[in-house]
Amino acid sequence: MAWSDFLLPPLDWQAFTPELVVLLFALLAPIVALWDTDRKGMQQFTLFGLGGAFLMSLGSLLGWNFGIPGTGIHFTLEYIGRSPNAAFVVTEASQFLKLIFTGVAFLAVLGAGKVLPRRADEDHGEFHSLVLFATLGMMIVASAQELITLLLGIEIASMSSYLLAGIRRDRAGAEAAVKYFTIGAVSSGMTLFGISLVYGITGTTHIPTIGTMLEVGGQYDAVTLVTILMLLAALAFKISSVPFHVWAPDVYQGAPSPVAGMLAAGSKAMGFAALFNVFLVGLIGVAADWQLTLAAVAVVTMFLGNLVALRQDSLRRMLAYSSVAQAGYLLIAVVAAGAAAQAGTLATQGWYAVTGGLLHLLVNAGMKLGAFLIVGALILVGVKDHIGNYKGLGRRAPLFAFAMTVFLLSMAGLPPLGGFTSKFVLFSSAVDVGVTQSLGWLLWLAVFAVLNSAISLFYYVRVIRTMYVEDAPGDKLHIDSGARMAVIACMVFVLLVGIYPSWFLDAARGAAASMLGFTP
Amino acid sequence: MDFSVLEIDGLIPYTLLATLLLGLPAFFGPEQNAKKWALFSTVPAFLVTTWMFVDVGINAGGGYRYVTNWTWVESLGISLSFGVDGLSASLAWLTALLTPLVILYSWKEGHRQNLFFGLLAILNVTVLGVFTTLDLFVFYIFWEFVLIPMYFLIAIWGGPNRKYASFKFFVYTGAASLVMLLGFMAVYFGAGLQTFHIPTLVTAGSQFGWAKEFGLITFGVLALGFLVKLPAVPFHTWLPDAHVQAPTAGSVMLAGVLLKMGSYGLMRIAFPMLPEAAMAYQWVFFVLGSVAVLYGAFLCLAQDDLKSLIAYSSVSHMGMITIALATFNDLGWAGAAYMNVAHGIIAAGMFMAAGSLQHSTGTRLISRLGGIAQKTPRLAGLTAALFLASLGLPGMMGFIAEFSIFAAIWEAFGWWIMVPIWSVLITAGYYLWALQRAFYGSERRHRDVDWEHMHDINDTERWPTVALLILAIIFGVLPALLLGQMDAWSQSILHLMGVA
Repeated sequence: MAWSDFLLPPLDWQAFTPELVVLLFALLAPIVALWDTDRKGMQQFTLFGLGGAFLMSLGSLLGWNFGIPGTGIHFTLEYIGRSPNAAFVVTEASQFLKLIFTGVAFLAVLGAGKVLPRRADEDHGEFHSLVLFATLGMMIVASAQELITLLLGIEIASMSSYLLAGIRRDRAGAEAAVKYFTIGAVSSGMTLFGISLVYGITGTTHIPTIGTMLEVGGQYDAVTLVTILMLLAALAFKISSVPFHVWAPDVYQGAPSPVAGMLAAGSKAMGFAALFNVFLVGLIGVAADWQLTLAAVAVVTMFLGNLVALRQDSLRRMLAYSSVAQAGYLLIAVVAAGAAAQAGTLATQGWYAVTGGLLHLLVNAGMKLGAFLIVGALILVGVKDHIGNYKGLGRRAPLFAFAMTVFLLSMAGLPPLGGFTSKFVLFSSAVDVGVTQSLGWLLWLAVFAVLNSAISLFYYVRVIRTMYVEDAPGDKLHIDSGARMAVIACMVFVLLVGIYPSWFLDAARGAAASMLGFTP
Repeated sequence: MDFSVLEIDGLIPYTLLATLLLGLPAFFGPEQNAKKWALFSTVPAFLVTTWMFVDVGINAGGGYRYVTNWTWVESLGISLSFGVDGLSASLAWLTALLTPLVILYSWKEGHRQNLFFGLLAILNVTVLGVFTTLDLFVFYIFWEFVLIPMYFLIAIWGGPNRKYASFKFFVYTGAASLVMLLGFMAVYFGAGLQTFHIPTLVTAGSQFGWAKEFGLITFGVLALGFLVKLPAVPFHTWLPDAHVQAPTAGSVMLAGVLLKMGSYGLMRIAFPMLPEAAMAYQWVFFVLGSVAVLYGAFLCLAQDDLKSLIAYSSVSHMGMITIALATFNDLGWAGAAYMNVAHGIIAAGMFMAAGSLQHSTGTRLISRLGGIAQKTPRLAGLTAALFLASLGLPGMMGFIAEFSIFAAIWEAFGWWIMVPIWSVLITAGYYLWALQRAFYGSERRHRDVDWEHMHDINDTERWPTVALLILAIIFGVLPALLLGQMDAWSQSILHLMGVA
């Protein structure tokens, strides 16, 4: 090996650009923070890095080209399909997910402006660096084609998230961080155990290779089942599905709200990206072994999330349980795609199911982040995180009350909002496979999902009613402009997916096709 | 007269858009102008729907008119399809008519005017959308969105128990429509045509048929969603709560057009798309309808609150539609369509009268009134006329609807007509009894009623009510104005379904 190859390995570096940008900014953040005295500059610095990564991901998805005429200087972002090595590929799916991750982080930082009041003079460099590192981890997961790389990405994101959850260094934050870390560490251990079993069975950690080795219809033993359970348990923690959801309410409540928003929006999307990859590419051949388990987990998760959310008076705990319920809905995509694979229609019905899953991840990111940013910004102006304090908000903060209404109704799946579009595709994918393949249990899954959406109306409408119908004395609230802009962006996005679904649906379709490994 | 001038591509969606855009200043503009903007926003829709209604009435035929077919989401086969026929033209017109009338009726509403009149303008758009769209997906969007303005209308301007009533309304009908959505998905994938276009799915469903079990389940799910909205017993409990607590404007829109969404859905989607399954459910509908007709009428006898009496009478009248659909003959179906409009006009008028009674006397409780006709002669006269229209006095709309429905029941079910026919008697009984106790007879001078300051119905409330009464008479004397188009529709749809 040449000396220069050691310093700069001969990789396709360009395919890494969004990750490299985020890494660079993450490494520089603590240093830059030393010169930043008014705390505004640091925010702009991070936004610059995240915005750049977002635009690069978007550009690669859309195939942007730049050239300066007459100079021969040409710069292209068309690198979909290229991969520096077998462990890391750039696909439409990976870039689609990176858009979610960078977009969420961007808006969370924008909205975080003044959310970290205490001790932030000392910590704000770390905060921005950790946000960037968490984003980097998620981006690696999006592109990972290999279990160790996947684990690496998850760990980078998780470690940063543990610290972010406790960054305020108060009691609630410490409890959140410790709880999150303890459960996370156990889950990491199980992930490793699962990976070692996979390696033992197939002799590889490369996910598509595993997929071809565990072929459809093969006979597998108890070890496969244990493997599946281990990997499921590990990922269930990240997506906060039953029975590994217990950390979510405490962490979402204890962590600063923008961080909670990032966890509910970005981190959940990362968990599902990994889940889709592992189960729908690697373990698709043994779908018969896991589909009923996953269906059961999905049903229990949505019921538990929605029923417990009914009893919550803290907005953040309610949103946490609603986020648990959303995990249950999202699992439908995996189950329906698995059943489709069994029936031999992975490329049509399975494609539709994964489209629904990816679209709902996208929309869920927008609405959950928006809701958490609203709660966080309201706490700063003295509206504590209890539903009783939201009385009269429709008059005191008309924009935020309206945006909150949009987010909550979108979570409930009411048209014409984004949550309706994505839930429609998601739920109907189960009906699709169920009707055409005569699988009664899949139809029941759809029925339960719809029933849960009905239950969720109770607690979402309760908040809306409190904001608009009940009144309480209080003046108009003056809310930080950064949080305002971030919330407006989330709201416009959620409305846009509902009113003009074509763009987003087509993007999700492309991403789902590339994730399942075919070109439509 | 040449009506083809307005047969332009996009007429209906442009009208809806115009209504929406003109309604926005009601929300965001200065408060004192909110009602003017809201009223103004109803003008284009009223003109266009009147035009379409008259055209469809004169040039009656089976097919859709004023059709727009724009692609919206290509990959799923969702289109912005709109059009009207003999079933929907009158309902769209009724919606566009009732909205300006309730805005005029509520002209003196002073509480949070921006929101109040803005919501009425939005409600107009969404209900019009339900009645004119020809795409299942878009239909669902409008259908669900109707909940939001109506929820706020009840929750903010409602009576003392408004929180409970609005919540129940939202959750009950919201949950039902989610169930209905499952049925939409099943139809979409079961047909496998990659389209949500209603006429295409109707043709496919009636021409090719479905697997028996699939058809039965899917029809059941769809019908459940629509029957809750209708509402049919035993899913009716949200209605009296919502009606009693809602402000008059809310009650009028609820009884006038929102309930019709349920029967419209049955007639437009559930029955035509799954005709064989629907035939299998024939007796279920007969029983459900008979129960609703009789049970609703009996409950009316026991009501003290005039508004809840009208609410239960709505349950009873909607039961008539349920039975009418079970007849599967064109007289019955035309009668059901006629009942939609008749009840829409008359019940709307009765709720306006009940609202005025509240304003005039401070109460709607029959037991506290009595002999007030001499203090409020105009209100008493209006109420009496509307009650007579509703109980089916010949010469008014209700009679035509009931007569054609009962004739159809006789044709289809023979002597079973003896079950629902009793409702005619009970209906006459509760209306006349209520009228007698509340308005006529001896003066009761209840201590909670301010006898001295009682005043007659004021002008802003009077003229909208009178307008509805006049319409009830016009269509009662000249039923052909409506029945022609409805008959054309029912013949063509039943022919398509292969039952007539």
